[in-house]
Amino acid sequence: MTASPDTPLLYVLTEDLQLRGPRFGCGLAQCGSCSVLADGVEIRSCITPVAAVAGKSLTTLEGLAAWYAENKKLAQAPALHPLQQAFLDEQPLHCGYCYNGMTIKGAELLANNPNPSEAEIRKAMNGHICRCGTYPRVAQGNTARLARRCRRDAMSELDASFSRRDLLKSGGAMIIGLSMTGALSARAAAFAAPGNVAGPPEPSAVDTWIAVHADNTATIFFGKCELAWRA
Amino acid sequence: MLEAAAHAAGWTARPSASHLSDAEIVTGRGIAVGTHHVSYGAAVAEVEVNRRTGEIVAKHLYGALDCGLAVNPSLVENQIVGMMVQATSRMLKEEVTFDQKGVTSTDWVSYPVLRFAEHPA
Repeated sequence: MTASPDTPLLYVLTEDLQLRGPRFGCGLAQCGSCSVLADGVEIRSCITPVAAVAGKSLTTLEGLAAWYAENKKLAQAPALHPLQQAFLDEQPLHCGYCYNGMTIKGAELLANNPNPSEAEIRKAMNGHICRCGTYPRVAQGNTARLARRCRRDAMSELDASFSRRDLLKSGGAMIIGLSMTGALSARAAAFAAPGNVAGPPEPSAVDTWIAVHADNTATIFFGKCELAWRA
Repeated sequence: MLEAAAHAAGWTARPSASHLSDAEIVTGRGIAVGTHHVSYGAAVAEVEVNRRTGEIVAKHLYGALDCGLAVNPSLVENQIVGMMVQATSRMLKEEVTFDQKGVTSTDWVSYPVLRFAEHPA
């Protein structure tokens, strides 16, 4: 592909390369939803002309796990960066629009400071706006938790499965999984036990699964969901 | 709900204006209850005020919500936390501004919202 030197990096990433990690938010470098890493440093791709990143190594949300593995010198990259995994496990997000930037910036922070204090987290993340009000849970619960996790060398996918299943069993509730595509779909299929799966057998076929567990709880996975309530 | 929020915050009764101070940074607290559709919610806020600069910091918020059946308690907690952060943002920062031609709040600089470093714990 080719692009004129002044094309915003975000346009090249989302339109030419069809990536879905970085997002157009304000277009003014004020909100952080378009963040990517350039040579490991978080930048706002919406106002960065492609010419400005010539020769630099770019990492988007899609490549964050591989970037993490490279930094940690792991033989094999985990399916997800530990911060992505922590966000999935803990579900601090609401609409998810800030998720890309929160994850990119959090990964940058943890790469430089594996055990940040709350003050360090607040300072580092201050350029990322969340309109849903998820700051406390992103900062306190998850970043502390993920900081602990990042000190481990490898993340096993089973961690996520156990966490969600434990939540299901203890709460007896129906959990609705969000955005299960690509590698996530394969994982979702893997932890819905054989015989319990009602739905497409091929992970890549349709993005929908329903697993009814032995204790009569159910897990439903689908690509998008809208939660609503009316009196 | 008032009792639940008060309990969470460790609220103890005291006469109004019995906690006055001449310090540069003073602290105060508030409690409120409200309804939305059929839900009841209550919150306690602990705030700091810099008497010299006028800066207000929401240090801690405690919330209680009677939402009915909580199918996913974690999501309900998300909503409680989210509404306390949004309420803090509205009270302390958000204001649509105008000039004679129209709205001048056009981005996150001219329409500031609560930022990460400012969120109540």
